[in-house]
Amino acid sequence: MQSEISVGLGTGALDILMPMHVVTDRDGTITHAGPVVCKIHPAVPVIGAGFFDLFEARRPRRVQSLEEISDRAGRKFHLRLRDPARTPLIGTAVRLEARQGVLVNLSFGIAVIDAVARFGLAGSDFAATDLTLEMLYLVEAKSAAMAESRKLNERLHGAKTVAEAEARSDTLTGLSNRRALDHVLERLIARKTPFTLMHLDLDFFKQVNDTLGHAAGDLVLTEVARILREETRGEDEVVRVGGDEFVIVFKGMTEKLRMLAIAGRMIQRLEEPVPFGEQHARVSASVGLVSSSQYAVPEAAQMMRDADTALYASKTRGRAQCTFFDATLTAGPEPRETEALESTRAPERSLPRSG
Amino acid sequence: MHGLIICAFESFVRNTYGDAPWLRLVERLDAGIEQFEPMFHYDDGLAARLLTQTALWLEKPAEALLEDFGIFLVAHPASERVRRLLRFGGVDYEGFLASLEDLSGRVRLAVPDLILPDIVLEEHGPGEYLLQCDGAPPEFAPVLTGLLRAMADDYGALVLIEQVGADDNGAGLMLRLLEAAFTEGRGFVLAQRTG
Repeated sequence: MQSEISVGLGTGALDILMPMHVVTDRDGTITHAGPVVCKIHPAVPVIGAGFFDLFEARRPRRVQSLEEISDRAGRKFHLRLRDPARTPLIGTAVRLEARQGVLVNLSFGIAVIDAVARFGLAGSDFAATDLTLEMLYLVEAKSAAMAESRKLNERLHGAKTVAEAEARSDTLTGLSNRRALDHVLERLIARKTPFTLMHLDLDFFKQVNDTLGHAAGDLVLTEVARILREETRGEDEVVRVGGDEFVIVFKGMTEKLRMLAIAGRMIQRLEEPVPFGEQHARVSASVGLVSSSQYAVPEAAQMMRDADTALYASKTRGRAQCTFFDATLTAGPEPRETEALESTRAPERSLPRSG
Repeated sequence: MHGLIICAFESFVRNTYGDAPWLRLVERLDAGIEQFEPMFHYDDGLAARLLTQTALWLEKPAEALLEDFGIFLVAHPASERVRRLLRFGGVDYEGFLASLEDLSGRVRLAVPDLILPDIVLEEHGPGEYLLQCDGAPPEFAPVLTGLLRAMADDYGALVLIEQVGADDNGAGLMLRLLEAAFTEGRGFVLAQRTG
C-alpha cells in the first residue's frame, strides 16, 4: 500500500460530491446519509438503520457484510432498495480511516429513468459533475426525434397506399388495371368508337403455382403480359383484371374472324413453355370475345358479362378454346372473381337458369 | 433550412394566428409544398420567403415576429418539448445560460443534421453576460432574444436583454440578470409525463 495523503472532508462536502452516499459504522449501522438517500427513503429513519435493512445485496450475492463489500473497494456491486418497487442500485464502497466504518456511494445505474419518475428527483438531486441530466436530456430528445420519424413514416406509408390505390397499372406486370379498364371502356362508348372486348383466362395457372411455387407463377404472369403486349397494337388496352385473368380492348376492330385468329395466335404463344430454373412452366388460355357492334347501345357492364359468358363457354368446351359471344350462350354457374363487376353481376346470377 | 425549424415556425403561426392564415401563406408560397416535413431539408431561400410573407401578411416587422417565435418555443404548451429540453441545461437560469454554449452540440446529439449557430458566453461582470453568435444568420438573434426572455420567466428570473452589434458576421446579445429568483417560475419535473 502506498502512503496516501489524507483529505479531511465533512459530511456537508460529501453531500455535495455524492448526494447518494451512505456512511456506516463498523457494525453496518448507518451514521450519515446523503440528501438523495433520505429523499428516496421518506418513511424510514435512515440514520440508525442497518445497511442491509435498507438495501439488499444482489451481486455478489453472498456478500452480507459491508466488510466484505469494502474488501472489493473500487469494484461495482449491485443492490436493491427494500422498497415496493425493489429499485435496483449500483454502488461502490471504501473503508474509512482507522477502520471506523464504510462509505458507500450509490447510483441508480440504467434504472435512473424510472427512479427519477418514482422519487420525483430534480436536477439539484444530482452532483454537478453527474452526467445523468445529460442522459435524461438525450433520452427525451431521442424519443422526440423518433416520434417525428415515426410520424413521417406513417405519412409516407399512407401516401404510398393512396398512390397504389389510385394507380392505373398493375405493379407485377405493368399492365393496366381494373380502374384503367373502366375508364377506357367509358371513353370508347361515349365516343362511339367500335371495339372488341377479349376476356382471357389462363388455364393450369393454379398448377404452376402449386407445383413450382409463386415465383414461377409471377414469372409466368410477366411472360403472359409480354406476349399479350406483343400480340396487340399500341392503341389496344391490355388489362390484368384478376390473378390470372386478362381483358384486352381492341380499338376499332370488330371483325369476328380476324379477332378469332388473333385469339388463336395468342393462345398458341401462351402455350410455349416458360423456363423456370431446370423446369418448365406450362399454361394455356381460354378466351371469350364480344364486340361493341353486337349491341344497339353498348354498355360496359353488359359487355363484360357477355365476354365472361363466352369465356365460360370456351372453358366448358375444353381448354385453349376461344368463343365469340352470341345470345344462345349461357353464363357460367359460379360468380367469377372479377371484383368490380361483381355487384352488377350478382343479381342476375341468382336467377334460376335453364341449360 | 432544417424541416424541424420550419415546422416549429408553422406550429407558431398556426397556434398564434390560426390554421387558415398558414394554409394561405403556404399556398401563396407556390413552392409545390402542401406540408413541411420535420425531417426533411428545405431551401434557405424558401424559408426566407416564408418569413417575409408571414411578416407582410401580419403587418409586423420580421424581427418582432421572430422574437415572438422565440417566446412561443418556450412558453406555449404546443412546444413544451423544446422548453423541457432547454430546462435540462441547468437547475437555475445562470446554469441554463452556461449550457447555451453546448446547445448546438446537444441538438446535434439528438438530430445530427440540425446545425445551430455556436453561442459563446462571456461573463462581463456579476450577472452581466455577452452572448456572441458568430456566423449566425440575422434571424437568429431575435429568436434567441425571445427564447431567453421566455426562459427567464420559466426560471422565475428577471433579465434585461438587448441586441448589440448585429452585422453580417453574426450578432451579440447583452444580458443583465437583475434577479435570479424574482418569481417562482414554472418549475420543472425531470421525469417526462407519459401518455
